[in-house]
Amino acid sequence: MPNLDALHQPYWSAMGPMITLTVAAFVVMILEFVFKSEDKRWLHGLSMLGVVAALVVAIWHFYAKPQAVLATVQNDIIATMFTLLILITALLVFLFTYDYAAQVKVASEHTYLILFAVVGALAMVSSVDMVTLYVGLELLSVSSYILAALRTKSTRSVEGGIKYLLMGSIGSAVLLYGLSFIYGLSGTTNLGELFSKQTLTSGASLFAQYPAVTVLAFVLILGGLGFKLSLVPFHMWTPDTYDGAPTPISAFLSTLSKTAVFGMLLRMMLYVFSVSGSNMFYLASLLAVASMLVGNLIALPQRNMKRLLAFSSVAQAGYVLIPFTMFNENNVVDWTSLVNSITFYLFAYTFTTVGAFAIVHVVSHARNSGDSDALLGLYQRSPWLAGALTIFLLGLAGMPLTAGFVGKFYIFADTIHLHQAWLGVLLFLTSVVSFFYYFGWIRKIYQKSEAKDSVLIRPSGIMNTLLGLCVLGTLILGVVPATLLHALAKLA
Amino acid sequence: MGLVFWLVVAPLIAGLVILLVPRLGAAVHRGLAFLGSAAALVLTAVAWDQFQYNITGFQHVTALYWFTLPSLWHGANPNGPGNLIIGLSFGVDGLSLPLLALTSLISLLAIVAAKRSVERTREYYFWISLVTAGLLGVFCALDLFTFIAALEITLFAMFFLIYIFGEERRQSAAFKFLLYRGLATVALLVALVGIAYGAAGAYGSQQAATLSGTGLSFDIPTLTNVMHTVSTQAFSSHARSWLFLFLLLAVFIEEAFVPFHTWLPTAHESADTPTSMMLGGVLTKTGAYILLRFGVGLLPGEVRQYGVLIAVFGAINILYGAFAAWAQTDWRRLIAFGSISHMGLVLLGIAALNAVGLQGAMFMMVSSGLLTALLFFLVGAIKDRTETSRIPALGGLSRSLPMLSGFLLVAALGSLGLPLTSGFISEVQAFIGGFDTYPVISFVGVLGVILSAVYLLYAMQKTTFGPLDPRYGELVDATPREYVPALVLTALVLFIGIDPKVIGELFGLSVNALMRIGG
Repeated sequence: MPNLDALHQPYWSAMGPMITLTVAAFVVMILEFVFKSEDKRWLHGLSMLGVVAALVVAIWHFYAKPQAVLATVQNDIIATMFTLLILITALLVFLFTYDYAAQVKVASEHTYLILFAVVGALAMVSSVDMVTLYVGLELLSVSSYILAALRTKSTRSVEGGIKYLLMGSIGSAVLLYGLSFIYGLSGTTNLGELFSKQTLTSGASLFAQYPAVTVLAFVLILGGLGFKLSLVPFHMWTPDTYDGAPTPISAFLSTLSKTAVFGMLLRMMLYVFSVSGSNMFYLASLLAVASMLVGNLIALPQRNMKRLLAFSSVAQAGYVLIPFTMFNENNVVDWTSLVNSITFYLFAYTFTTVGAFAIVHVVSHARNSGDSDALLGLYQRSPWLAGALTIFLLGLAGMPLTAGFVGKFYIFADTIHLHQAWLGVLLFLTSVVSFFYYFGWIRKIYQKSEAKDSVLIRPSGIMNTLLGLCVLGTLILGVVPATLLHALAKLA
Repeated sequence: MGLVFWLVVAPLIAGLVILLVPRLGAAVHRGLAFLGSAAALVLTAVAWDQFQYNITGFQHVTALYWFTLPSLWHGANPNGPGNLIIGLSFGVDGLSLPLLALTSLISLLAIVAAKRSVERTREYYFWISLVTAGLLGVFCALDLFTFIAALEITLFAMFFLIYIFGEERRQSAAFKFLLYRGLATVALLVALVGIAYGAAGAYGSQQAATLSGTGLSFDIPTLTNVMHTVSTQAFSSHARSWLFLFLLLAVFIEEAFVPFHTWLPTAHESADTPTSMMLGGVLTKTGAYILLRFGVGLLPGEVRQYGVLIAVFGAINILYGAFAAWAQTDWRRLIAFGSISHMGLVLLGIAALNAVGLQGAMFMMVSSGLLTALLFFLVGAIKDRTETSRIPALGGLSRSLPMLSGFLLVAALGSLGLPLTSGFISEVQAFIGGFDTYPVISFVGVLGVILSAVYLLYAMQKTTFGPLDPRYGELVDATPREYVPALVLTALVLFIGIDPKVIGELFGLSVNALMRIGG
């Protein structure tokens, strides 16, 4: 009698979170159709339950032996850590939308749309086949297009959604074109097979055989994913979309969706290009440099809070891209340190960014203005919000005692180690530029407001939970980074 | 033992209690901050008392494990990736102990000097405690990461102090401070991390079995050992030069040396009195500490190589600071430029790279710290009464404020290096050291001392003598609370001037350690 446990175990450990969330998404979708009640906020609770169940499954199999299921889905360090991060982000986003839906009327369809997007994101970080990766990306993207345009009554939301749809579709098409070249050259869509083919003999890499086409494919894939990551020069849609979308969705787009795309880029770099033996990676460093410079400089004059966070996220994506520019053949032995620094920074970035967006929502809702002047005298209105936002901004600026400092330092140490010190120097130099707008907000928070309407702002309990989690994440990873680093070291 | 660890953590705990415990009164906030700094001072005294003068190297070492950054190194260990271990380690030697004492003392006096009327005491005393903890961490950290983190903490904590509690033009002053010191940190990061990787690489290629360090280490004592055993072939002098120049750039910005000096006078002009005492008394000594600890300590060959450059910059700063101070009409800007002039002397002493010069530089750090804090305190006290610190607007204060004027005179005389004050012993040693190595440059620098007599006495004469402005006839002289900082700082200035042996012994220990490796 065959042992069924042994058969199911690998499927479940590799795909458990994905399966759980898919089920949850369908259940929420059907219940949304069936019940006609006005207040559907309980759907958020149900979605959160689904995410928590997926988290439990993911943590249950945290240290499971890495293996590939159907040669398509894998539970290695990248999949495990990115899955964990994506699920935590999803939980934060649902807390956020729950609070948001209590104040602003939004179509309740967004609950299951977010769930489907998260399923797509999970597929992007855990599959090792170009077809599945692309399907995951499209699932995430299509859901995101709708989510961005969710405020159908607002022209800005619709405009932002359409811009995102157009630019995102171009990005997908460009990416697909790049993937098709890789398939054409190698005859396989499976990344594992591609990797072993390339490393079979010394001259077997795609680049060694077809240098021009491989570089072309590299550029197309990087550009296509660059659209989704809002890297300069593909960032034009970002401020409009973030500004128009409901704030929780802006937070979703700038954290969860970028995490997933970074995960996919990591797969492509590791399996397809790292063994190529070419120096085409400097093309990626051009994007990183442009994003850091342009993102930080354009953010300086921004007065609208969400637009500023949009440009800040462009710059932050540039920081995260730095380790990606070092995946060449000589360095690939160090891929664990590169993966670790990317993962750590994404964790730091997620907590600070979701927290910042959440406070931007609370403040702009309470004061009915999205201008950063709404922050004036925030410490008088709510010391808690002022303190939390200060921590998030210090984290984004990379100050010690917050996760941002350790994250930036890790990336910096990578660049010194792998002889790309100039990128690390640029990372910190552009961070100094970013001081001006992050500390510019801090300046407003602690400025005395002469306005008579200095009413207190009292966020809801759900919102306080969300902010508390983000503050904890930012501080714990800054003061005891070992919590995350040891898990990473154990998985590697 | 953990003594030095608790010394750093004590103000931090005080700060957290102030921040997190709700509904404490202003007096409690102040009392807690006071307790934190007092604990640091007491622990420093204990460490000083238990200090063993026959041991070179660090004492009271607390080496706690903090975290590991995996696979950042594989040179020394060909079989697998090596990890970078970050330690939360602290310890003291002859150089850091007096600076710790200076930091905890001045923070204590700054809290005493803080006005009762200050609003938002929770934030105020939290940031003061955080700055204190950061500065203490800077002076006794034994790990590069911990050191840089502590320095960055002082950066943003001081920003909040200048920005929230500053006076006119505080916005531009705070942002200027942030920009300059932020850039300094970038240069410092490159230099220090670069040195660590360079040393590890050199160690790996040299394969010397006698070395105590293995692979990549951020531990400062280990790094010092490695740096003095690896040959120049293994760690090319070209790379060392570049790293040293980055380090020098960081030092120049941190110390507000010409041409990177503009942030300091504006910051002092805007900051309130306690913040100015911390800024001028302690924070501007971090640069000199970096140059001694990492420049002379890790790259002595480069200090020698670029000695002329450093000495020339030292002389330029002595003269520029003095001339600029002469031209000022505001006491606070005058003191700021005066302290730049003093720190120029530190550069000269370090560039000399002989025992007397180094010891003079160390004395100057402490002496300038005490005198600058004292001057800012007194000028702040006068400004509280006259509502101005502009020199032309003052006059004849010796009649209405005899005690404060008297203290001011002592501080000014100490600053211009009168014998029996700490300024004298520092200047003499730094110049003797300087003359030994760079006679011409030192000769030019001595002119600055004459200038300092000119500008200080000129300002003193304008402020305390001359006809008494009738507006200032009815002022109340120093209150008992104000006697404390004034007396303590004055007593220390005189004590060091009369009996320099007490801290001279400590400094001598460090100088010997530095000279052995440098010479």
